[in-house]
Amino acid sequence: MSCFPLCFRNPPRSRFIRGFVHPLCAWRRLLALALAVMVVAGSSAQRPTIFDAPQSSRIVSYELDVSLDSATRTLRGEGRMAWRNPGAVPVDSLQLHLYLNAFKSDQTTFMRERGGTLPGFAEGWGWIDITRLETQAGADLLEQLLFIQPDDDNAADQTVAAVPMPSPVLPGEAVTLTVAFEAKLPRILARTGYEVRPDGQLFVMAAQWFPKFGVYEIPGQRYVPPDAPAGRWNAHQFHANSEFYADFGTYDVTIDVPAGYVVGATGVRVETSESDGRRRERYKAEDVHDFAWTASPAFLEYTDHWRHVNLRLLLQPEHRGQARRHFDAARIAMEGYDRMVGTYPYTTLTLVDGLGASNGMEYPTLILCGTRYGAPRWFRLSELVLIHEFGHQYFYGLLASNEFEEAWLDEGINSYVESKVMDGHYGPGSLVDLPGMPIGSRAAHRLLYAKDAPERGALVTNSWEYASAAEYGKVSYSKSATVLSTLEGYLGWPLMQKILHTYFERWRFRHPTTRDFQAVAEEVSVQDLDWFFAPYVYGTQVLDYAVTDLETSQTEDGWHTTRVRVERLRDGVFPQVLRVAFADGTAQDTVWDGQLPAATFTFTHEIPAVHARIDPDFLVALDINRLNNGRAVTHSRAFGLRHTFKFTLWIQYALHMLASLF
Amino acid sequence: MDSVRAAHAGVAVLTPGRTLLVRGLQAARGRLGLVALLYSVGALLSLAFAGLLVKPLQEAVAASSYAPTLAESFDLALWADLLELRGGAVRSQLIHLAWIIPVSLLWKAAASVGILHALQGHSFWQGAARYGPRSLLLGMLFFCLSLLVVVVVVLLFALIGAQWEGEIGRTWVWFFFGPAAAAFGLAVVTVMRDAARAALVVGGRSTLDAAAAGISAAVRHRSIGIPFLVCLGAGSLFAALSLLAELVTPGALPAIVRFAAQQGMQVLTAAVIVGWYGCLVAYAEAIWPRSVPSSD
Repeated sequence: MSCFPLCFRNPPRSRFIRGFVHPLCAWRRLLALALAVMVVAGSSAQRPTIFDAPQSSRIVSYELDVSLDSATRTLRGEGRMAWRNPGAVPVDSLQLHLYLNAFKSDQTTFMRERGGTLPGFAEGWGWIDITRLETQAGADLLEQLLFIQPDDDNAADQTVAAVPMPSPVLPGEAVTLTVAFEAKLPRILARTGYEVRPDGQLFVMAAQWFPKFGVYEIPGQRYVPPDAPAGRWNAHQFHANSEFYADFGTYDVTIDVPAGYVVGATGVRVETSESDGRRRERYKAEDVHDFAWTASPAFLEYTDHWRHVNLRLLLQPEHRGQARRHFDAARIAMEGYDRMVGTYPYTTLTLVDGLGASNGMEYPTLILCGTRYGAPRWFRLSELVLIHEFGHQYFYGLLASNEFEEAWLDEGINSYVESKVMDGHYGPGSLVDLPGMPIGSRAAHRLLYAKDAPERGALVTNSWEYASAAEYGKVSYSKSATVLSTLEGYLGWPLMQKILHTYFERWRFRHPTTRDFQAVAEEVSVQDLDWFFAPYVYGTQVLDYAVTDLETSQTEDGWHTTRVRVERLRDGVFPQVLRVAFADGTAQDTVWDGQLPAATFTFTHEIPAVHARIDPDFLVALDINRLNNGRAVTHSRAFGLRHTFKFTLWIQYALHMLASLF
Repeated sequence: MDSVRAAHAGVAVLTPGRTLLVRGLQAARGRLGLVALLYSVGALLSLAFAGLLVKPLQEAVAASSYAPTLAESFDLALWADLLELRGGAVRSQLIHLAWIIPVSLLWKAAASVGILHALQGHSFWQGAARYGPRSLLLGMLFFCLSLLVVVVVVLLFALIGAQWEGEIGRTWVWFFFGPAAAAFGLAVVTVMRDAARAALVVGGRSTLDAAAAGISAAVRHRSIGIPFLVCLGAGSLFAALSLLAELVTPGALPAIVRFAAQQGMQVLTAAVIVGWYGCLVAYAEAIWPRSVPSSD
């Protein structure tokens, strides 16, 4: 692997002091030049995906030319955007997302839900104005453009617009619009905008920066009844807690920035040129449903590759020592998702080390990771974020579920797989690897769910309808991951992996729903899983089983009878394994369907029992209290002794510290 | 003034650091009773405190069948469940046991002068009784000085941090230079306070004179810093070894063996403390010779 910096624009100063070039550096520069030539030469032939044929329905296509005015933080764009009617009946209006308008005032739905801005945001507002919108025939559509608020009737919200067409778009027909727009980037409040580095250099994360078609769902697609007379637009306003939903298509975008800027974008870079103090880069992407780009003169650029994928890393200069760490995590992510889910079909992946709230976000073939200077190795937050965001290339990018309506399908399934990748590679301390206190990703998700009002929040909920951002996060990420861990515990990993793989193969480049995921799970496992999905995916039932009593007695013939009482303490029902361990090291298992509020089981054995445990292998991660899952015949002093000793030592040192001040 | 000059000259001919260290080592080796006393009080206080804290947790775990698991390894799920169940009881125990803080501070004030007194060949308890109240005053005075040092360091580094923009600067300011400066400041105050107690007990100074002498000693005679650093290094080493035994080998050692090894380190730490006071006695005898013989 090469983790070789291509720092032509941002050379480390030490290498160029007084014109001296160390022989090793000279070789490196030559090698870098050769590599760059190879990359440029290769890129002209590089396709955006590994496939020759279209993989998605390619409902939309965009050819846009966008220019960044770095002084005013404004984008000016123009080009053509096309939409094809996938339905069987004519469509008389289009719907467009204009998401930068979420940052237009403090009265937008996004801002209201978010509870306002941060201090010092006064100059940071952003918006998008369409200045030209015409059909190919030259009909001006701008006059008819109408802002709509399908979610909350907030008249101050201009993040969705409807455009009546002069004539209906016929089934299968594509309509091409000529568009020009001006977009003022907001200061980064959430995901998109600009930020100024402490050294004065600009960082731009252009996401949701252009007018983007909503999704026209046809009868039978997602939740539109198959017998509906026509399809319907699914275009939600920009909400504080939600992400996005768009149709697959092709993008051909030329980005014009001041010379000296390093650009990263969705897709494959096919052309670059510089003239008149400007740099132009052209990117092509296929079978993706969004296009994002970033630019900054401060970026350090590194490249690497994994199988068929060219990796680019755009790093803030403060983090120059962490390039290898990023590439290592990227490889772990790519190998993990490839093994567990399926093949990554794109030929590029750009890792961006953004600023502030732009980090921890995903776009097709471009992810924002983020790190900190001096981030300790034992706390793998950078790795977690990178692996998670890469996972979104699958659960969001390829399996393009509606993030507004079913966020768990991308955040939740992805959190589940991310925890498998993290725990599988880094071990029990995958997240926090402190000696004596390892914390894994699965355990962290279970904790965040089980100890934070587990009875609140169903997985299938509109994102903006959660009570708070915290609840949205808990449910969409941690509860979902815990639900799927539990399903894995029930079905076993081989079946679960087959479910993930089948779901991926069947639904990639499409818009699956919870119903589709359940159908795949039921098909692969050959069983009805309604009993599981209804309470834990659609519902808010809570699982807690306990062993509440354990009695042993010796029978006349010398055998020992053990009676175990188990109880279901909450409304959640789940089949349980009850295991009784005996003094000779043997154990007996029995299965309880968990339906009744309580049950008593009797075991007879020639050796006395030592303890009984329900869910002995901790497969039911949804059980919110594992401590009450077991009961011992005799009380053990091991814990008390060990921790009295341990706490004694800690207190001794605490007293030393305290005394040192007095 | 002459006596002060003479005293300073006395220190100058001491071969400072080494001689002080030798006296300190002799004190630690020769007064094992003091070491035992210092260790025992700390250990008993800590053991009692720990026992009371662990009690509600032990009650919840004992019958759960997970006691051996939790004794040998860390399990986030079980600990989270345990703290959810008994976190309230632990918190209330902590509140009820808050008396340990003033008690340990009182003990520190009394023990420090008791040791200084004992190292001069007198009774520990008489020293603690006679100088304890004034030692307490000195403790409070220098505690205020410690707080002032922390406040000054925080303000100073906030100003520096504001000038030094950027992530790298902030990281170094707040995670390295700031804590290092605070630690250095607190170490200097510690030397001042302990020297002041030595001036009080060995030099027979009044409380305020002792405080001034302590400050002066730490500022003017850097030789006292050498034994302090050696003692601090030794104490840190023992602490590191204790933690290593705690963290690196969970489950590899029987709990009682691990605890015995760790307590061995605590005994050595107590010996280092007695040694440090031995250094201070040597220092004080040289710099602040008593004009009036002790009545002990």
